[in-house]
Amino acid sequence: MRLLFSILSLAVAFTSVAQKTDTTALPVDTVKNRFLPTGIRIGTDVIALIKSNTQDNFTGWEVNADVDFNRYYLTVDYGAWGRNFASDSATYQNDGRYWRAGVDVNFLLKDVERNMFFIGFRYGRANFSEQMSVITKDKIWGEFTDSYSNPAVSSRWLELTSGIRVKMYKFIWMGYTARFKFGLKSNGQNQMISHDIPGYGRTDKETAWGFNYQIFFRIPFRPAPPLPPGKKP
Amino acid sequence: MAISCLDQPDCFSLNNNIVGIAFKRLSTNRADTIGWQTITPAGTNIAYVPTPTTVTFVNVHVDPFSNSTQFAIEAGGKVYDLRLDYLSRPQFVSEDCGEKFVISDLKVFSEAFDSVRVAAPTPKSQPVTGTNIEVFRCPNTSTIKVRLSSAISIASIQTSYTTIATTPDAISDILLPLNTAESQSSITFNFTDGRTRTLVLNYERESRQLYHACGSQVVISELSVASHTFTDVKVTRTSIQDPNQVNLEITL
Repeated sequence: MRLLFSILSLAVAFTSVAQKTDTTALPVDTVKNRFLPTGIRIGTDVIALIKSNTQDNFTGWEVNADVDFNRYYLTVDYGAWGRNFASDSATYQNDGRYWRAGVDVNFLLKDVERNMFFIGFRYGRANFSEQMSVITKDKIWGEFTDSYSNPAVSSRWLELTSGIRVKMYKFIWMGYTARFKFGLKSNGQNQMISHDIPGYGRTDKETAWGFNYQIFFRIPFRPAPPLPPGKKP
Repeated sequence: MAISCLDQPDCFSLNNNIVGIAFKRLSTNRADTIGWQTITPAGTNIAYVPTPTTVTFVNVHVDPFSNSTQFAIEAGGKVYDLRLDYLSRPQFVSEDCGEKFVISDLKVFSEAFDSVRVAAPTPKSQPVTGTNIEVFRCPNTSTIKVRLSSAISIASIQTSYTTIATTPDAISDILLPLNTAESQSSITFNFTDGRTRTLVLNYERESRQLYHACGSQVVISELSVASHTFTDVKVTRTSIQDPNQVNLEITL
């Protein structure tokens, strides 16, 4: 025991001497708060705005926002969507709001401009109303005319996302988001089956693809922590 | 744009309002040998008639604009009512195709058939094989099969206990229901050539429940000829089979 104490005392002494004489101390940890947000990005979907102004059967808009937590981004979308279609035997209209929330993971960790390539996940919900009128004829059952409406339909779905965010100029960012939508469930389709769901799209297939092109404005909260050092050659 | 065009649905047979009905024997769960003659949907001016290959199975159209369709099915000389209830909801398909009616939750109601059940609750959009409704017939326990020595045209067959339908065509095989209330049946044959012949049969009766859905049935056995005015009557089988086998061979 006495020998062990002596050895430990010598070790402490040498350590103390080393602390006093070593002037190249370890750098202070500058990324202690790296999971605190550094800013918020708010943007809109350009494609929805263009479609609203160029297509007769679509009106809608979408705003997007994300907040960074290191390489993870909490993201929220909110939008409005309305469609109307007409055929020789039927007309269809819907109108409602939707939102999506999820997380993106950035895989460009060493980009000086903090550009992003991400893969993410979303949970989406929509609430909308829809109407349909039918004037048709069957070779066995004859002519038929009627109108239908679902005043309160709610739907939910899941998405896998991927895309980029690129800093264009100071606080202006642009990017796209590709979406693989699945797991659609709806309630309130009492009189008719939905044809189109705001934020999701057509319902005649089990999965759907979507694409948004967005412009963002970033509001910084604090300086971003330094990038991790690159590998030495 | 190109993907959008390729992604549009086909505008053919959009409504899934075709219901497959199979006629089966309760004893074997196989296709029945007694087919149907006509099926008439209420509210229409059409009638389904069988082909040689569709005697025991038929695809019928239900009304996509309603939640119920009634059918009158003529089989074995009788008319049976069959009602199909379902949920029919419209759905917009596309600007090219218009709408379609989606039918689901099929239910069947009939007090006339021995037993009916839903095999598949979602109708089809094409007239393909696939059974939605199974109509079961309880086993025949009181009808015999008579084979005449030659085909002959029968004007009428008279009994005191039931009416037996006849056809104007010359036939040699006849299905004769026996009197289940008594142990003897007297049958009078009136031929179109003016001849009249009588046949009196004796047999034993026993009430038995062969299948729960059929309830108690009178099973006839030990068939024998009490008297006749034909040239000869020969008993080939004393009990009744389903499908019917020849019980009597009659020489005119």
